[in-house]
Amino acid sequence: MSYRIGIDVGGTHTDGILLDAKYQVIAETKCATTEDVSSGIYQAMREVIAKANVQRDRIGFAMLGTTHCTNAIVERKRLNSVAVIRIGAPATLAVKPLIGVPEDLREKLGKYVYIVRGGHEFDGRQMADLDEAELSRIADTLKGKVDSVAVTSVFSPVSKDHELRAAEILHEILGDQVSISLSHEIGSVGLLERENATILNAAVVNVAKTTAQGFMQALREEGIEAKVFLGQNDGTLMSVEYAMKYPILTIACGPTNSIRGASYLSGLGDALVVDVGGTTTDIGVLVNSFPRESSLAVEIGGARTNFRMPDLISIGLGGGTIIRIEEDGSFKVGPDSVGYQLTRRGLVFGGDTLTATDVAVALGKTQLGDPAKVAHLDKGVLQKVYNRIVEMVEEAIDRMKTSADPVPVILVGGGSILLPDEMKGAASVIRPEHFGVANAIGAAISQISGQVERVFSLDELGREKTLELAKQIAVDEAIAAGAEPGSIEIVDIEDVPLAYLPGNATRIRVKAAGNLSVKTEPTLSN
Amino acid sequence: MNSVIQERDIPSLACGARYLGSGGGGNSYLLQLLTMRAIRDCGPVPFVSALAMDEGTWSAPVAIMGSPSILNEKILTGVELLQAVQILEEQAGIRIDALMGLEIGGLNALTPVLAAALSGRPLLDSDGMGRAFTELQMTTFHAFGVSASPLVMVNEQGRWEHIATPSNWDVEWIARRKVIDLGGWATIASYPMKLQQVKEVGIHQSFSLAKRLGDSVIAAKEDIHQVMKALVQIFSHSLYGRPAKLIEGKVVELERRITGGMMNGMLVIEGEGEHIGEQLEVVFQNEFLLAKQGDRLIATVPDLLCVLDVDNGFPIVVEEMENHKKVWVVAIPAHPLIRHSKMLQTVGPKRYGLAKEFIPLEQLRQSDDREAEGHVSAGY
Repeated sequence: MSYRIGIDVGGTHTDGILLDAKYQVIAETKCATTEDVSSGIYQAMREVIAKANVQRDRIGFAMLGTTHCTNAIVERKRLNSVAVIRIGAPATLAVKPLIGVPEDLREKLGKYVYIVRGGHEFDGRQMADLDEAELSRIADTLKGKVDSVAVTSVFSPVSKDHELRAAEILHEILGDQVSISLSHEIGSVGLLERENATILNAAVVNVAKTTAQGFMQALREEGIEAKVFLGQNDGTLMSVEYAMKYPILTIACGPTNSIRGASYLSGLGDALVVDVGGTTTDIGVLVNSFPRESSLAVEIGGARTNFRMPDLISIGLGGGTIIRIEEDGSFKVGPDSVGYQLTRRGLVFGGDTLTATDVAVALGKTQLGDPAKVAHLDKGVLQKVYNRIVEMVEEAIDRMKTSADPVPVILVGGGSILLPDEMKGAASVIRPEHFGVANAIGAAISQISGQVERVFSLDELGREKTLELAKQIAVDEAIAAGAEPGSIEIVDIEDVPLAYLPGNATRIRVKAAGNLSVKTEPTLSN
Repeated sequence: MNSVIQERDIPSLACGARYLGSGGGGNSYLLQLLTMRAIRDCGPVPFVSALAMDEGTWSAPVAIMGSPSILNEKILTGVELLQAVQILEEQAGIRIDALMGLEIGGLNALTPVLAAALSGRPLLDSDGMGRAFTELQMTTFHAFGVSASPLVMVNEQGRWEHIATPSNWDVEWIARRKVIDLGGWATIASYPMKLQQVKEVGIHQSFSLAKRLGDSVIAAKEDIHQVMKALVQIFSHSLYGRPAKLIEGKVVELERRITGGMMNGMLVIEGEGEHIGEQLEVVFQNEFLLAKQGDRLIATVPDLLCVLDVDNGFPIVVEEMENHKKVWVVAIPAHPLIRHSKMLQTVGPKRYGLAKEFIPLEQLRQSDDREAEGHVSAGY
């Protein structure tokens, strides 16, 4: 039998969890998120291990969902020295890489930018021969100047040949210590967005390495030799080796983890998940046990990408949300919050700030701190405030629902004690056990996935057979990444025809996911 | 609009063109980047009314044909547009001294601006669709007897095709197939005509309308109520008619399928607020074509239909539509030339097999009001 640790970094708290092989919770903990993020992670990890009191050599897996890479991009700190190579000339020449990206980021990442001949058509035909001589020349000039290279070739989601060949040439000249990010591993069709994502990926490779190695080192110091995985934004895991190559895929794993955790804890595959934290409430949608994804382009640090993120609404409401009541009885809910200082600044904890938690305690909705400290407040006004709080959540629920029919609502997150057992639009309100650390549980129970996203021509095989082919590719990818073959299911399938073009060209995306195979070692090729 | 188009006019023009796209015409983000850069490098685009130009001058519309998704991956340089115009000049044995629009909806509202900026030719304030449509013959040029031939199409490698055939329907058929071979999109120059003809068969002031519309929408700062006011204000003072809000609610059903290279399907909106209890079905083929409640026709092509995102008032294109989105559906009476009986032969609801005849939005609204007996519509 083997235990696993799950750790998830949130804006306010870093949560830790330790599960047994049957995914039963052995111990849970909550620590304040620290500015360097890492020390909070180590703290949560040590606490949960101490609480669980299990044999350390039986902790076989450690899953980490972290904000290191997001922070590095947003703060523009600790970024790699990057070269950007696009393969696609003569097409694409008029729009240089990093166009439309905020200037401070472009200054940092746009020092070495090249466009070379090559690339493919949407149907896999070669557009032009890859200019290998030019690539060699570029590699020579880059020697000693950069530690990371982003390579993006036109229609590489259809044919990755030119990117793979470019990587060979670059490795040969620059050596293995320079990491190379290939766009076909990162994004889908849409050159500028995929290229931006690839450049950002190249920029945070070192951050990811330091994070993962630091985490493994901290585990070893505790006498734990666990296999480490990082959470991806789609709610599945990647091996630490893969995460060090493609760290950008860890962005936004937090909300995903809490939605997945809510699904596991409640046993529901289709529901709305309301995650109430200290400062904000995220409302997401569970479809088939995975978060529904938004189809819109997402900006990361101001750069357009074509990443799929969980479709979320975030509202400024959490346990620490500050409530301001005027003399005339009018009031304002947030949007600012006392955050992790709730247990110091909230009235029921002896502080001086009226928070959403104080309102709930005063009205007897939940028991926390010292209710006597809020007994003097006008219940009539507080009731109005409380009604408004519930209404804010109900409005958000209504926006996320697909139909007018009520749906089950799962409440998770430490702040969810604020909310009542009945809400408009909710068929039922479910409060699973361990709701406070659902995100860490989501990280710990994550599956391994494989994905394919390509433009297929339906004329060759017909729709059904093409979909079957795409499914098989996704399943194979999942197995290669370390999923137990028998447990793999297709969790997401989407086909969008390309408009204004005959020949039935269709973009098909399939994701397959399965349980982590305990026996096989995950390989590098995801 | 001024007598030139400046770099700063481009976001407004693109924004207005999204509404004129009626759900189609493609996302213009990329064309915006390209056009703004071209104007920065080459200077503002001379912008003239067709009515003010010498009747003997030759002009041609330019556009991009094919898949916007492929264009977003294999990005044009702009040179392909210049080549298309130059080859058309050679093939037709003429000198083209002014460019114009083929369609004012979606990304093709910017294509002629880009071409004009790069080539130094003036841009006429005219186009042939007055919105977005799918096919080459769906233009007032075709409806009033101008030949699309010769048509020249060019790809990013400089490969080109030349089509000359009497029927504009055949031109569309051939070009649509060649576009695959050329790699998914091509720039086109076609319908060469003298200004004398442009004056008669073109839809005029369409670029200035798109620009004005964009200015007002941007000033509305993503508040859907303000955006609606802007639409009413601008369209009511144009040859188009007064926009009408058909429903507000949530997309509860979305069906997309591809047949013959066309994205067909429909979506169902379940009413909310003052529209509670109502359902509206919107049928599309690349563009939104028709709105109905049960069997009752509410609005039909060629009148325009916009599905607006309540979060910001921006129109959602068919390709980017999502189930569960909260939206307003707005119909806009089309320009009178687009409603002309000759134009309806190509773009009327009968052509799409959707309805026997075209009934103008205003007429459909009137019968609606009579049925509602004394119900006073709030605001719009």
